[in-house]
Amino acid sequence: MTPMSAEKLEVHPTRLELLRLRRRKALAEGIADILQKDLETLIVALVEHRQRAHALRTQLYEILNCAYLLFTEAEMIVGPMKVREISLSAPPIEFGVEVSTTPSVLGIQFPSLQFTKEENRALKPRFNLLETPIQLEEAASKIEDALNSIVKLAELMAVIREILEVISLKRRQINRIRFKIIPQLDATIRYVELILEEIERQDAIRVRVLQRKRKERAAKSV
Amino acid sequence: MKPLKYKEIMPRVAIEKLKLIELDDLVSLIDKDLESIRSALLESPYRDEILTISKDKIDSLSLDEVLLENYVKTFKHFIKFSSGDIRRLLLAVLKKFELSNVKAMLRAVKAKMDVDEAMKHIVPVGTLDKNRCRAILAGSKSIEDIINSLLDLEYGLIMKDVLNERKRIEDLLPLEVALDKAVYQGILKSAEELNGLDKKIAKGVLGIEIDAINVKIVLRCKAMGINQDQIKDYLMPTSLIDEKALEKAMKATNVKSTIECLLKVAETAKNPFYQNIFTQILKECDAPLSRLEVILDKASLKTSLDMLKEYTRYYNIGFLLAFFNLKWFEVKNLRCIIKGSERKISPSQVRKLLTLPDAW
Repeated sequence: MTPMSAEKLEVHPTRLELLRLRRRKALAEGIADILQKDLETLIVALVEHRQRAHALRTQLYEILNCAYLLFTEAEMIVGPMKVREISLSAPPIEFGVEVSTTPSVLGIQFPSLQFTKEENRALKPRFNLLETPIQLEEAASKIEDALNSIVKLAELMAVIREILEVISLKRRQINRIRFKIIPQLDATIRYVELILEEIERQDAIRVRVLQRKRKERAAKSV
Repeated sequence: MKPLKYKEIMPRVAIEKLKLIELDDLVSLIDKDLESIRSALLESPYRDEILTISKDKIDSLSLDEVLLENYVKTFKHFIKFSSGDIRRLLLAVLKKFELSNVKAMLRAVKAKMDVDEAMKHIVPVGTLDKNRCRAILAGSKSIEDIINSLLDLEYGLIMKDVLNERKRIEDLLPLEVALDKAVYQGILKSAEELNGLDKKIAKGVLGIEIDAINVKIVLRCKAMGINQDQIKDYLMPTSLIDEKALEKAMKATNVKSTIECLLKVAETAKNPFYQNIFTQILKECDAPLSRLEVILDKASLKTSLDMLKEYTRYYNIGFLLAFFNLKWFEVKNLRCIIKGSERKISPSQVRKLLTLPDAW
């Protein structure tokens, strides 16, 4: 990538300013390096989270397939009407999702989702033990697992989105430093150096002219 | 033994027994589409009911309904030709289906289904015909309304007692358990009222069904981690495996030790039938509970098949009870095949869920 044509900064072309500009450039390069390392860490975290999300999604499909198969088996055993009748009249379980944040990679606050289930419900069967095929119980339990996995997957997706946003921000910051601030500083440094060189050259000519004139005056007076 | 009381009913049972679908034919329906299954069923005793469904409306729901209707029709047919204590026993067993309608109405009201939707769950049996059920559903907005509408039947009174005890019904489980217990109590009482060999056979066949239910309840509750006192509330009246044996099993810490305990009880009682079942279950105790339940279901089928071989065909209740069990397993297996076909379940999976004799 070629650097953008940079405009120089409005500064006084002095030696002090040149030193200040060089310090600013070194600082900008340091910041860009740190940001680049952060970016690499974030990319590693993104890849890890993506792999975890992929594994979790595969696991979720397996759980859902298993739950669906168990539900179908329950229908095969007692008939679809009975399963429908039992399912619709079973006491519902209250589920919820608690949202919080936890510090993670580079201290960034990542969203944390916690699947919650009503706990005050006494331990007792939800369905009629005599009529309900065990497959329906197992399917219900699998669906609970699936809900848990869905919440975990949602958390991972939220984290991935957060990481992507931070990566995009870091990339913009790095680009701004590398392709705007540093070239601008370079241009300004070059400009100040040129001016200072010009001043030096003029001073040198002026010294030589003065020396020549002094020599001429000395020769006349002798 | 009174052969005369079997005069009317047994020839009819023998004819119906011959009409049962051969296992080979039944298994050959696996993996067939619904239309082929319908065509096959047109050549079976289900023909009349199948013809009531139009070809384009055929699905697992409609087929399931007609299979149940056929079973109940067969049951009613035999009740018509039975008399005395046999009739009383059959009426007691039929109450299982009547109760199924009561539960369907309770669940429909609980789930706030509309009347037409709820009526799809009703298979008219006994005093609970379609009109009565529709009237009850139309006039009931709460569980209490259903209970009050059924006060003329024993179901209403049983539920009223539960309601009085609990003041408030949060879920249907206590009501359903009380109703189930009453029906099975009635069945056992009717079996007890039979005489001689009939009594022994009826207690054997129906007892194994009830024992299997109780063992399933204990195993399921153990797997859920439900405590012993609570499990007792869900148990049906005990039969061959008595309360003491079940209590011992309930005290066990997990499913495996529960089965070991039941096996020990069967060994002490020198009951080879149960020994064999619990040994089989113990061998597979690490398998899912559904597999263990299949073994228990097969116990009932095995008893029925043994009955057919063991006792003289026409002069005892064994043949009749065995026929009803075999017919019920046929309905269950057909239902399984039909749903499997509709959902495109693999043939091996469907076969696993069928209740077939071990030797087959």
